[in-house]
Amino acid sequence: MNIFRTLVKILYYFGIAVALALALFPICWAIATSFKSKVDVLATPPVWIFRPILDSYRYITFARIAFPRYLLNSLIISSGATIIAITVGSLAAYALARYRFRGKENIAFWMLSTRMMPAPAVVLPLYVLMRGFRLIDTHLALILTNSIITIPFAVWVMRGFFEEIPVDIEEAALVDGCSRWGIFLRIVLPLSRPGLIVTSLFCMVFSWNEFLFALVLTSTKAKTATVAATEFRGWMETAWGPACASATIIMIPILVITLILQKYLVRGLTMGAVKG
Amino acid sequence: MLGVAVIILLILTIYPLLFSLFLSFHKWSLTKPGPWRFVGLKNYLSIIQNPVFWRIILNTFIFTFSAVTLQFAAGLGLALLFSREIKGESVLRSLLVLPMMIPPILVGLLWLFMYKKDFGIINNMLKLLRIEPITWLSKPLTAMPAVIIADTWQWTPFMFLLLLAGLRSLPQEIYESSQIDGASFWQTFRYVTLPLLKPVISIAIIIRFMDAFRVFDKIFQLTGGGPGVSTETISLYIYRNGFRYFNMGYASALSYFALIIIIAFSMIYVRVLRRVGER
Repeated sequence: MNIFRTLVKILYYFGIAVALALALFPICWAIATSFKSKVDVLATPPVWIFRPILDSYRYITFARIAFPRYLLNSLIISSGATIIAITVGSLAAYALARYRFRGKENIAFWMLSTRMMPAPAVVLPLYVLMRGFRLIDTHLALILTNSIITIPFAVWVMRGFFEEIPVDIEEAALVDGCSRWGIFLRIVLPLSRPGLIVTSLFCMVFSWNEFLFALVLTSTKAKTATVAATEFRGWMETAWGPACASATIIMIPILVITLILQKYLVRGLTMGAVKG
Repeated sequence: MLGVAVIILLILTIYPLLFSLFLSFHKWSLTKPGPWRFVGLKNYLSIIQNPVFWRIILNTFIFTFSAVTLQFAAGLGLALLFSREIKGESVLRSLLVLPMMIPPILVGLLWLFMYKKDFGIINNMLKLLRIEPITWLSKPLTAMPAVIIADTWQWTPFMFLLLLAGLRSLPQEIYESSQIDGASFWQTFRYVTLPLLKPVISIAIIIRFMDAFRVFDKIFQLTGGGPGVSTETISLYIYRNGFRYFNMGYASALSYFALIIIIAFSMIYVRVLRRVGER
């Protein structure tokens, strides 16, 4: 019996170890590749032990591809889309959480449905629109289009956070003569600070990860890091060292944010449907 | 307050919808200047008559069903492993969920590198088992499974997290009483755990289903839809017609076909959400 129990325990930890290895290997492999020399990257069989060098990073920083600039573009665009989403989204979320009006649920679900459209179907008319306004290859174009993803998200998640604040506090403030705006700015927002931070971080990640809108709506000036990372395809073979280096740089902030968001991942990824 | 959000979203979502609808009845090419020409239902008819379209719909469903099923099975298994609290759990869990936050386009890039025939790590691992190198992404037979595996790698953590959250929220007393009644592990799982998890399971599956259905980045990077059209899904097909052939009317009509399917899904989702909300 005791042997059986030990065996189960071993199997159990083995299962977790295998899952962990499967989940982390592709990420670690890309990071390792980014520190390899040109020869080692294409070596068959693959090299496991090597002297790490920074050639790939030097290449994407100083050579033809000005990766830092694309990173900056990504940062500007995701910050912009996040600021819009938080401002507009939290106001709308508050209205949905506290006011009673007709068609409220329909508006909420319509916002949800915008998230379900295939991206190419959305970007096609937006391309024509942005071209009409001469906004192609500008940060503004991408900030606006990324808000299509971030606003509905912010509305749904913030609504959940607002609904958790006891109504009594707000009613007390109302009795004391505080205006609706005053309540929102002085009571609701400070009370839901964790919610605001969580929502903004998610919006940042979604916008940072976005690819197709950036591919279609930018060419050089406003190109984002995700688009640049796919452009190492050469005539014969992709330059895998630089590609992995840029992938690594893009992934690092996301890995950090994921660790911060840990407790809220379920809630965020289901847009508040499961509180977790 | 709500008004501003509604107006911004109206401009950004209703406008594209209406404009696509308008375009779908016209013939208009981005590259050739000149006005759009009204063609009535011609775009829709030629889509239905095109066998490629039906192949693409089939691909999309094959991809969606297999990917979501695999992710659900693997996610449930993992969640059950974690169902009892273990040491260092929070660290383990946050490491396990990393794949799902990575940009899908980079997931494509990472796996493209690993699928390479000669220096790719997967073939080199298989070589140790004396399996000949496989050109994963350039054979119709292996390309679709390869794409599905990459998607499963990314999204299994999502299922895992949701199902684990569901498992943890189940009342412990039920397990105690079923243990007293002498139920086996399998019986408890089949008749207690699964039925109680149903709301979380349905939310998880529908969310993944809708997202897998609109998959773009990953396949775009891995195969670009090829070889032939063997991994091309509806999103890639819309992209190809719109931005490779600049056939805006045709692509818009395609978007509407996709939209109809998506609306059907989202109606199911809304119904599930409301039912869960009532409980």
